[in-house]
Amino acid sequence: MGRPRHVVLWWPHWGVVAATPVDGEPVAVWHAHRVLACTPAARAEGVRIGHRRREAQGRCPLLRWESADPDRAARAFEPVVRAVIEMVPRLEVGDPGSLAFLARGPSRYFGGEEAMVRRVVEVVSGTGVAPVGIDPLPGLGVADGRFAADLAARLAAGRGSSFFVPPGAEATRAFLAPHSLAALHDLAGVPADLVDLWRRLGLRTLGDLAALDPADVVGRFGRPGVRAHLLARGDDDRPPDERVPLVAPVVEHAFEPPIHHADAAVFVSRQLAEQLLGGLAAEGRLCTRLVITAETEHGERSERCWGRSTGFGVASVVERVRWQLDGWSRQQSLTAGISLLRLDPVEVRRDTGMQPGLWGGRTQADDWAQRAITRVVGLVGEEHVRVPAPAGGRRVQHEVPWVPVGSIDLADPPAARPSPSEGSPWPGRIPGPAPSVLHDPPVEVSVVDTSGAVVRVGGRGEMSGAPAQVDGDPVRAWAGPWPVDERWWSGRAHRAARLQVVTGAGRLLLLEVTGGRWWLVAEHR
Amino acid sequence: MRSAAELSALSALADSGVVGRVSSSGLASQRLLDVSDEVRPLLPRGGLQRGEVVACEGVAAVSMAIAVVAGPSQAGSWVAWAGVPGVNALALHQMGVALDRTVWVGDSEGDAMRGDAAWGDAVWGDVLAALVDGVDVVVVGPGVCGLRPATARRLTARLQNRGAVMVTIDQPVLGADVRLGTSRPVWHGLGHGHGLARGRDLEVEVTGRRSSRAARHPCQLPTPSGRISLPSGAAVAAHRTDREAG
Repeated sequence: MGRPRHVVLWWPHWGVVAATPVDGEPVAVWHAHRVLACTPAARAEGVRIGHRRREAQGRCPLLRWESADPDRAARAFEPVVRAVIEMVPRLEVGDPGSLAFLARGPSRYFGGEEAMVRRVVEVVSGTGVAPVGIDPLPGLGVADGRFAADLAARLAAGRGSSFFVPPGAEATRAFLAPHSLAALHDLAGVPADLVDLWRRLGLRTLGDLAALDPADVVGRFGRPGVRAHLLARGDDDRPPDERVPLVAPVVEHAFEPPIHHADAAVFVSRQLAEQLLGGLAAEGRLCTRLVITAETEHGERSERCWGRSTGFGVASVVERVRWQLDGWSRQQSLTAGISLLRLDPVEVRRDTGMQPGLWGGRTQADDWAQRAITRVVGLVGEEHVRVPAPAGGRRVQHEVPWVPVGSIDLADPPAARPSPSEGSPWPGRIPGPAPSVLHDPPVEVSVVDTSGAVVRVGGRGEMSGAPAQVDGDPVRAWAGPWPVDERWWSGRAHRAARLQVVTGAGRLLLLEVTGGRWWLVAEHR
Repeated sequence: MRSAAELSALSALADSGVVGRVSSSGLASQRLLDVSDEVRPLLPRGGLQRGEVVACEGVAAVSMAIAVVAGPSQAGSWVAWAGVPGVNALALHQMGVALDRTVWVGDSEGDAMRGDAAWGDAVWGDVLAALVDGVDVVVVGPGVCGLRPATARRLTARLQNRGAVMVTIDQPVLGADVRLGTSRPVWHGLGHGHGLARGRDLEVEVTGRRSSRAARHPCQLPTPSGRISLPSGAAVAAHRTDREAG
């Protein structure tokens, strides 16, 4: 059974519209320290989607760096949606810059897919939205199934043209086969760690994955694996047992009396979304396509279908309601207040674990924390905001240094970041509990023996006398010295001996002697 | 009839506004952030109440702060270390803090505990407010200097509004709902020229805002593996009777 023909329109750099670039200005829009979109001028300098901030600025020093604003991008996208909806009544709006609809009806009406695509291009360019500085035309992909059409649109996007995948399961599979598995994550919301696991197992392309026996895939990778496998083969991504569409209840709220502020409706939509998604989550399901309907007292009506391959969370539903109401009230002067808001989940999928917690889950907390961190970076600069980056070393101050937040992508899954390994191969590191405070740079101290002479440590680790006082504080107990002789082969050689000392006040200090001078390196506080 | 509907719409608005805000800072349903089993007997409510300030003081204030935040961090909360110069990320890791949900903010390279006063009230006020907005647990150390009482009051009000928790290290200006004082350190494992530090015995004095009497617990912090342990039984029992009495 082939899948219905889908058409996908996709602008690769839509996000940059919100930054209102002037002609020829290099602008990049970023989120979580990665380039999301950039203008052709920036592209000409070598900036690409996915670059880190530093890399992008290194290539293009004049780059204007704007943070992503999905609301403005959605507003700018509204005229396009309106133009296409004239032609194709039922279309699905994805993220700003992407549209999808079924090809069957419109292609018959316009006399074939090619004619339909020409018409879409005309209509879209007729809106005059193609703002200066971004690609004038979207990529247009036509294929069996949404996934293949998405991929085709992305292939076409670079050239601002259209790409037709011939109908039929064989042709679809052949089209998908050479493409990287990363597409499964980017376009269909397959978990990144699963894709990464496959890559490490040596599966590089969709063809490699499709060639596996379905039974093996289900046995080893479970449900997410099966779904990805079906996608890679160009089949329906609903597993056979879900072929009967899951029905989910419609939730709605009638405003009595009608309200005149879109904000109030947006507030209520949060509650509706929590109710809807909470019910679905309790049954282990998630919503991937949602129709939002709003009506006024006088029967004016706005209905739009929104899609999200990774599933909607409460925040993303609220966002879509806001975009839709915003666009609606701009488009026509409404004659009455909004009397009804309805959320209808038209596509519901079993939650295969790719969906992060809907609310209060890990990702939500991560998102908020990231926003807070971005804000703090804006206040005080990147140098002053740091995260731990396990490195390993003999000396305690080298084991887990703090590095500026910009050098790590907080959006990376935690698995992609190293963790300190206990008992890592660093002979010479002092075992036991790690001191809670490091002094960096170290503080110079005086360490004297009972006669008041500075304690010296010889080349073989022998001491001139037992330490009796540290900065005048009597020494109760001590251990060491443990020599450390690092990088003797280079100009940055470091030769020292370390001592643990408990003072009269009960402080445990880690001291280091180098070149006859004593330093306080770390302590337990 | 109309007023009833209006009322329900209004309460819906209020709910979605207020509840939504708290819930979005994570782990919505809990008013109490879970702490590790070892720390639980120390805290009067058996966890960190959202909106409260926990003050760590004394000889092992930093270690105590690390022990307190380890539980929430493991449970998925982010922990920000503001103005705690030189805090050792390896010690955080040993205590069980999730390093990928940890962030450090400070104004100097970490001239440990001395805290150069480059940033004043204005900068720290903004930084802490931003952190309280998005991070569940904010540790405020002695590097945060020059905080005015008015700013501190604003911050604690914001803390209660956002449902975050502050853990302070020697920061009296922020006040305290729970005070964890550490004293009488005794180190084990070190001799005269031999051995290795293996752990420290402490006495922890817990003072709550509501309980007049302080509870004292013996405790080992850190243990040889860098964690915290309370000799179970006696201390916990003493703690309970104390609470019942108070």
